[in-house]
Amino acid sequence: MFLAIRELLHTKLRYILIGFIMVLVAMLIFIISGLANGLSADNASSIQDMQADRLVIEKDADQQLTKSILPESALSEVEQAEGVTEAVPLTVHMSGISKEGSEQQHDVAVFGTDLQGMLVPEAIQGKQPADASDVIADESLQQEGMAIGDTLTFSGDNTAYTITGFAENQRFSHTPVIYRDLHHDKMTAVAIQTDGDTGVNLNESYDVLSKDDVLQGIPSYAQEQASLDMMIVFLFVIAAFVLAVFFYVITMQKKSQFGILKALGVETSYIIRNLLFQMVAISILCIGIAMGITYGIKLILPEDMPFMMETTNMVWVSGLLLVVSVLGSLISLFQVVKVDPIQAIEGGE
Amino acid sequence: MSLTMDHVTKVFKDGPNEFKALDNVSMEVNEGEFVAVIGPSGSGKSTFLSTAGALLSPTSGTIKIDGENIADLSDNKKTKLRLNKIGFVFQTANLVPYLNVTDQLRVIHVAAKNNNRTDDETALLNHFGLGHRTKNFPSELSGGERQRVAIARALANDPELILADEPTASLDSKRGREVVELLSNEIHNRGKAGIMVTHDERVLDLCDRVLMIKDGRLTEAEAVH
Repeated sequence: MFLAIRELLHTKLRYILIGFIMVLVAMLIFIISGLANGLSADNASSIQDMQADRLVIEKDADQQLTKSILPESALSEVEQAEGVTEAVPLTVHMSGISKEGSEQQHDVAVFGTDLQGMLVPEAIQGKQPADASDVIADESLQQEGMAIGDTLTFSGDNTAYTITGFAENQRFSHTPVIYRDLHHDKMTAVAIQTDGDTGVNLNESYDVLSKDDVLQGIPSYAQEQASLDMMIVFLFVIAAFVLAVFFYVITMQKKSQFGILKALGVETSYIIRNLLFQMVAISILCIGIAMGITYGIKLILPEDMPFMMETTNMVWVSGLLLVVSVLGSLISLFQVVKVDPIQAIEGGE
Repeated sequence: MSLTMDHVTKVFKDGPNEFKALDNVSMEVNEGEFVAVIGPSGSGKSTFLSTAGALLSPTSGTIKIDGENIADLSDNKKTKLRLNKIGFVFQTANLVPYLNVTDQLRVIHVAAKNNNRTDDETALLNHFGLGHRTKNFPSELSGGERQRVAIARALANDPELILADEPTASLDSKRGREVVELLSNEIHNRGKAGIMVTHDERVLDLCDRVLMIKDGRLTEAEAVH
């Protein structure tokens, strides 16, 4: 890419400027999608990571987990349904906890289930809960001053529970989740594992939700994600237009040069390959820099900030950005095709 | 015969009107011959040069460069032909601003996929007294130096035909004459066919023949001296 590299090196300033804009836009996209991921996890990681294929809930609950109430008979009915290999009861309600001897309340989501069942997450610190007075909680509760072995009570209830362990990625509706024994609460849902893809034939009396359906039913989840997604889409559109305009202006300025090169016998396809190379090289470099800076920012963000960078997501976003920038340059390439080499003779206008 | 034009006519359509920019032009240029074409502006000089340089296809007639009829070639073939058989020297040198002097020549070799000609480039630039300027960019050169680079570039691929479009236009008379002298010497010494379009009458004595173009018709000019 003889021409491309020499031009980039010679006209550094102009390309550094556009590179700067591109780094900023790419960074903003990375940060917002990190935030979207983080908030999504903060809102629903307990559901996303749940060891269940589907959740069976009440028919009239608008597909919202928190609105569902099931009778006790539901568990045995679901257990016997065709295709269900495992069924575990689940209760969900929002509550507050306080450490023994302290007045301070912390918001939590209480997930009641069979402590020997599949829903109880793996402890990354401490032990699995063993008896009805044990609980396992999301690790973020440690930031509220909770530790393994602490005794706590739920608001409106004087029963004492002991934290035996902490698990990761257990957040629901922006609060940490505590798993405890089923207690006497009304059953919210039955979590099931199914064998393969055979549909569960329960739809007559219940709603069978996939985990994605459940996420959409978490209050504010869809709205939160939609507004962030909209920002990301806008940033992509802005990036495409900024780059398209920039390359269009630069290409127009270089029209007479292209005329000369064509008159001298340089093929149009060679010129276009060089321009595409510039475009791709600048984009890759800028995306790389933006990614590096975003990782740096992540390191200095406070721990409880809902910010999450996933490799697959980053690769997708980067790839899309690259495609968008190349698309943005297509109008300019069309200008190059249109340049008539005869301009070189007619005064290079 | 390096260039032969036989009954070449070029008609431009201007709305409902037709305009004959070249009217039945026949001429030939031999190897080692340097021909000047003069004429008032609007006389068809540019069209003449563009047609001879395979930038423009004639409406009728044949143009042969090195025996090959170029009148009906596809755009791609014309591009290749310009690269390999024709060397252009433009009015204002028209160098590529971001290439240094060596690269101005190398781009021709790169386009021709004719690499490893570094020695030729160096030799050519030394020959033109540009050996100390090889790393300079066009903006750092004087007008005369730029035109010398342009001539070196025109010779880079060892073409059959050199076409110069008002090469003295951006130079004072002394520098202009030096450039045409250089062009004339190279054409004679290397056995190229050369055509220069100009209205600078002071350099016509350096040419072997002078043709006059007027209203698209080409005639042998009266002796100019």
